[in-house]
Amino acid sequence: MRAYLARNVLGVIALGEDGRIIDREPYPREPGAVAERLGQGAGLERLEDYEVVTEEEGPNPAGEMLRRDPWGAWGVEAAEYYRLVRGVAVLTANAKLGEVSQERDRELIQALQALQDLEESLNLLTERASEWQALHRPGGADEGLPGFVRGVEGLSSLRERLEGYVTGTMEEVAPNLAGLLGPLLGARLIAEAKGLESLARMPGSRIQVLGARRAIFQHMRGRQPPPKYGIIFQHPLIKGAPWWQRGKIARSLGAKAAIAARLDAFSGEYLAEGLKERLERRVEEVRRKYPSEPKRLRIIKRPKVEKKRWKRKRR
Amino acid sequence: MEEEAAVERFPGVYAVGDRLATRNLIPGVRVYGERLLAVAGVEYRAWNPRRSKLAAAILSGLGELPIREDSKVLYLGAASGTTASHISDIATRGRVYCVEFSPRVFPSLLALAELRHNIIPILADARRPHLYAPLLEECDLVYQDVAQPEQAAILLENARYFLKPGGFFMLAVKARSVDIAMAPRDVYSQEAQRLRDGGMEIRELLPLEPHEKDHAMVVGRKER
Repeated sequence: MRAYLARNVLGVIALGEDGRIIDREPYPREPGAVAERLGQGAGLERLEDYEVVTEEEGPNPAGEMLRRDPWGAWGVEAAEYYRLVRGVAVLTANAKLGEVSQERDRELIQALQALQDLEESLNLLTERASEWQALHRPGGADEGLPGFVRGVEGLSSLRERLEGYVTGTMEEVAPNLAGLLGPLLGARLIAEAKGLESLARMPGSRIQVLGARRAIFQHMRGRQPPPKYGIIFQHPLIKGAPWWQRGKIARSLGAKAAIAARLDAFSGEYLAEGLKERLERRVEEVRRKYPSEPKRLRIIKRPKVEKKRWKRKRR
Repeated sequence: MEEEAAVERFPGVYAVGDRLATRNLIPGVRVYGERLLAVAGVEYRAWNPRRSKLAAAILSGLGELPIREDSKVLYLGAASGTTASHISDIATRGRVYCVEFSPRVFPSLLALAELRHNIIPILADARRPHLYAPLLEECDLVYQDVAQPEQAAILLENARYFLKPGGFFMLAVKARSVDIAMAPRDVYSQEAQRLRDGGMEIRELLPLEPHEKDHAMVVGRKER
């Protein structure tokens, strides 16, 4: 025998296959308590002998009954019912909003910078340890080199934990960026842009050269050609590509990163897999079209007068 | 300020001069910076077709607007509540169940619901109706404006749970989110066909040009 189970803010109800009520349980008439009950399973004790059908796979007769007449079955007035619905809706929304706090990206940036500081210090300390090692004679007191090494090892394990924290936070705050670029590179872009939303408002071409500040200003002063990539260069698809393909791949990656950032900041939908696929398709195309190093033009005489060749138009 | 007449175009929807407007449910309060218009002691809120696809549809020659004073409306993809606020002006004695998934825009919906007691703000994913079913009742209209490729599927699924037999739906089709390569007009008829296959009767298919590029409003009913 089947039992159809459904609930609303007034309680849970179970119908038999003949459409009659088998069991029901009213909820307390208080939004907080109702929200809590709706957050849990819908179990009714008397249904042990039945095959229970909830509305997860589709609407069922119990749910249809409750939606046709939400308060009638409970002997409650419309006004009271709507007061509860509003209360429960607002309460559950606020609870969910608290989980995904708006400030999570600020904390992410701090953690990432702590990680970078730690890496820098570790390099310095490890170097010191190996220099010391060369002079060290075993069998001395403990507070010398062995103590120092233990401290460095402690910092190294802290580094690992911090990296785990940054990765975990990225997957919550910016799952699309994490999926497309990897959590650490994604976090570095957010840090460089000073926030997820400000990254999301940048065009792909800006994201492409994010972190190449010196190069971009050199370019704007008219002294250099424009940079092809910033911190995005760390991505294996660019780093591992031959130099003549890197600019093209960086352009595409910058554009995809912009889409990913916008999804994370404004939509919450996860589409990183599709973005990755399109990126890889473009990388394939680049490899096919430009398989070998382009011939460099032989420069016969460097033009002397043309100083500001790369000067950008002023706005 | 010159006095203009308010001409009722649909129940609760007025033309004031060359502007579309609804009667402000909460006089003196703006929702998104819209103009407030006073006509014969009654305050109206101007309804901007560039901000709201429903307004664009009305100005593009919509034949019927299935919202009454006591309508229950399920609004999927309510965003910050611009269009929802006008529906709340029309369905004063009804309910507008606003489903929105993005935590970034949701606070403005909560603020809107604080003053407008016919708005129920629901933070949930429209693709998973069973998760918010306990908050809903049977509805007279499902209005949907979500930027997702599987628009028709989302509408059909929600209609299955919440739309009463013979109830209406309005679907704002965003051609660019369904398929960027297809011609918008082909997208519209493809989506309309999907709805027909799902047991919906199509009554109007209205391109929203020039108010909204590559968008159309599909209006129809659920079979009885």
